[in-house]
Amino acid sequence: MTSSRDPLLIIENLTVDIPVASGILHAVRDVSFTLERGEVLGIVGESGSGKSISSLALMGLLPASAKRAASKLEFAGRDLLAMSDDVLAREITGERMSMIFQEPMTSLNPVYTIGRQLTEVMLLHGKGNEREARERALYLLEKVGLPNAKTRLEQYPHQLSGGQRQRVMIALALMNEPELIIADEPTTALDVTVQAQILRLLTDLCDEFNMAMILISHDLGAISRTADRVGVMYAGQLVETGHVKDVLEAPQHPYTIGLLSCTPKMKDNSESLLGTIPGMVPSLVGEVKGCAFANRCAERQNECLHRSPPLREFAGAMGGIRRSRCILKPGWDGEAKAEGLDVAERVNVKDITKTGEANVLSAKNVACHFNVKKSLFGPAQVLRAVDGINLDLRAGEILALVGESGCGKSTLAKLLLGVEQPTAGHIQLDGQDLMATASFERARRLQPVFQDPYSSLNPRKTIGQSIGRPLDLHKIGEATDRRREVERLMELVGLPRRLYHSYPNQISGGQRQRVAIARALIMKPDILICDEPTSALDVSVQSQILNLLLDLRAELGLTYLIITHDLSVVDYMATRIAVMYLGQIVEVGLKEKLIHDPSHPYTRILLDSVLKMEPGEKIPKTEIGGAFPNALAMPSGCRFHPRCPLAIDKCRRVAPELGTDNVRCHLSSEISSRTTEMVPSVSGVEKEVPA
Amino acid sequence: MEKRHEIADHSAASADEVPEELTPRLLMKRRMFRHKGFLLGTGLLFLLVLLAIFAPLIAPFDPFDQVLSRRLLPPVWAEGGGWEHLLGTDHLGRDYLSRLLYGARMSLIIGLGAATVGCVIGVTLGVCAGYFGGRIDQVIGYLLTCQLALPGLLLAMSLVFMIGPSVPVVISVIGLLHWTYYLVVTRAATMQIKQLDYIAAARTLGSSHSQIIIYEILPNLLNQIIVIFTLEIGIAVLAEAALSFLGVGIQPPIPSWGLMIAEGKNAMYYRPWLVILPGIAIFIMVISTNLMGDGLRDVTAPDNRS
Repeated sequence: MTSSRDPLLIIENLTVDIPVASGILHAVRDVSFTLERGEVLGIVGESGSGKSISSLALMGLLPASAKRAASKLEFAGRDLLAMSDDVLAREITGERMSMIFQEPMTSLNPVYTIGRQLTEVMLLHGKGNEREARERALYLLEKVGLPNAKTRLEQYPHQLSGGQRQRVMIALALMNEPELIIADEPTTALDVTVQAQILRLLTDLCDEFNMAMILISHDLGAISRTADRVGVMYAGQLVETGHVKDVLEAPQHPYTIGLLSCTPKMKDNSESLLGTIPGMVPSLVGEVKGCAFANRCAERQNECLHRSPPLREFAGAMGGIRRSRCILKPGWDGEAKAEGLDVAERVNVKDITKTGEANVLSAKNVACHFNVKKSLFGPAQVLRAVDGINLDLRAGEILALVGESGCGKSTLAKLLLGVEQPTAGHIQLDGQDLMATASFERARRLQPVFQDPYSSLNPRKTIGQSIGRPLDLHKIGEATDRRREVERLMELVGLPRRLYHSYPNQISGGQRQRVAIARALIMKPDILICDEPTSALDVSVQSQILNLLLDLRAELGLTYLIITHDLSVVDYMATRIAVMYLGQIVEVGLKEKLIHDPSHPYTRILLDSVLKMEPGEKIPKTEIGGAFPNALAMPSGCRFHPRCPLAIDKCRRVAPELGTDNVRCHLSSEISSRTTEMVPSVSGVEKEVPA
Repeated sequence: MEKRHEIADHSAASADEVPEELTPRLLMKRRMFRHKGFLLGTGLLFLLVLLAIFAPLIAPFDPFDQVLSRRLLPPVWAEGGGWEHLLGTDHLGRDYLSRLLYGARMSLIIGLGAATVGCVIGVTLGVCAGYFGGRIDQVIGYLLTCQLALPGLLLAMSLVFMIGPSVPVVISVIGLLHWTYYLVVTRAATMQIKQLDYIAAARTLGSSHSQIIIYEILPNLLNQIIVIFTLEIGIAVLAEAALSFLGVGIQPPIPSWGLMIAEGKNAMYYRPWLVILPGIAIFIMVISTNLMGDGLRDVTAPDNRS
């Protein structure tokens, strides 16, 4: 991938200090790396590890109070340290170095057309006149896979979908032919199918224009397939760098090993539990004594607590220099450790539940339609968020509900919880109508765990109050009993007792999610409905929560419905999977069958889009066309046909039913008999514009 | 499983040790006594209340006693002022200090009372509009538009005129006219909070609407309500001045700070103290409620708990 071998970017001993109320936050500590032209450097790390701050430091975008220092900061032979902000903005950033941000929904200005925003970048740097800028914008829009570029120029950001906006952002970053692109979590806000397309586009563009890229992500799968070299950041430091294959396949630093063991791999059918990294990221305020990772490290030695570890350099197996900031000598049995970590067996579920076939919760032809009025006197449109769903939840199983954002999975969760009233059909809890059961009765059977642990707890109530609230509400027990019960639950979910009087803002995201789980469990329900329970959490915390859910299930015999878009979580947790598309279930099946032999084209594409961790592999070409359609304008016939690579004429006219094989597709019988080959189609091209 | 929990427990416990029973109430008390602004504001307000209650004991003169020969005396520090009347006298020769002390009673009662009446109306409507939405929101929105379109002072005048001026009437009329800020702010905040998952969690627990509003929503609106409340106290005192000036508020000769400003207005150009002194009094009262409000917000706000 790399053609020339002169370093484009040299960073030596970069530090960023940000003064905060409680002292000085050492956000980036002593980071050094070089970047060749055309090279892709992936930076991984959990939130708060300083990966975004270091890139902002390069772009001169730090908050005004932050202090940046480095012994060397050189870009294409020019010293960035000696450069004033003005010169940096005029000559380097936006022109030779540009950035793609995480949130495509907010990084474009909503009041200007796409065309204006694109041409502005070029005109601002005096790289050409209006006409040239327009031509370049047209060329790039086509390059990034947006057809009808001419009409796009006149459109406003709100007329484009998230994926399309991110493509515009990429075009924007490329306007001045930069030599370096910094992409900060460019696909985190996007659906899996779009993620694969965007990452593929970025790497292809890097190859084509010989650009270097710094790709910042928490997603090891994405990094493994895009980066040439990887840097692992922890607590403001680069703890390990090296060739992507070296670092991810033969990790040296205990943190890298831990991170890898936490990530669900979707590789085999292993029944082992995910690894975890105990504890939390340390506060970076004030001086960090010794190794920042020491308190979470499984290999901790006494010395680690007092002395900062040396940065060891050694040759990687795949060439290039590797660095690891650890007291352990290169070549210690890190690899063996990485393999051996997966020893904890997960408890076999079949032993716990004997009633595996009884339906506890079932939805029968459930629909939920909303009337949407665009203006006061405009006609009401019907939004079919959930449209005729039949789904059974069997006692003791973990049913995963998968789908892209906007497919109605959260609405279905609300329906099943009885928070939302179905427009048609009914939901039965143990054969009784859910809406007819009293709300207290319902609360004792069904409890939710929500996605965002920051918004699922009342910020004005203490942890103890939040967990004990159900007991108060249902008037169960005396005050002392309640207190004891809350403490029992806190212990069960692994919360230290001293947090009883803490407020949600004083504890970490993972702990909050534990609180939410404890609150859900205190009524001793038998069904938990988890709506994206880990998507707001870091991988190391995610693995803790997922393992906790599995443990609790083994201990209490719970039934789970897990709603998620993350297929690796599904693969790790589920026993059965239901795939949802535009308000309908398109395929239901046992995990083994669905993951290894999907029948519906949509399921197939979803699975193909998952970026499994395979260092050095390319991003797979996904065959999905179009953007996720607008639920207000349902396609005729099969709802998936506009994006389906296999669509035939019948699909456009006749809507398929969920057949006896539990697949909603006219062609399912043919597909399941075929091999993995599929008809190639236009990939990466979005045909449709959502309103 | 046991083992992993132990690890999590251990590492969290090693972070920092907090003594066992530090209840939130105890911590809040501690924060209160450490918050300088809160202490200053509460102290000042407490002092004002004391002065108002014990006005008959402290005041050097009868506030209604007119000595026309000693009219418009300047305060002691100004030229021609004397120690007898520390703050001078008004246009009828009444001792200004005594009138200020007695006026504190009226102004405190009206300021706090009217702000409370407005608060109850505005917050109730705002939370209902924000929480229930739809038709209820539209109706309340319409009410708000009507209220904003009405000439407030005119309405107040006619209302007081019809019912007859008295302190409770003045309080309720001013309160009735000053709930719009509460409504606008609490409605917006409620709509935001309503979307959050902890409301959904409360609903799945079987909480009723009123339980959700009281237990989940109102505590989170406290910050905004406190800020507006302190603002409204000042506004209410001035509104009372306007009413009194028009002759439908507090009836002379009962002193109130607003009325004193109104009465002093005629002599403002050559006896500015007549307006400045009650102005300062109002200022002190508003600033002390403000400080107390801000302090209250700080010591109870979740962001300041770390």
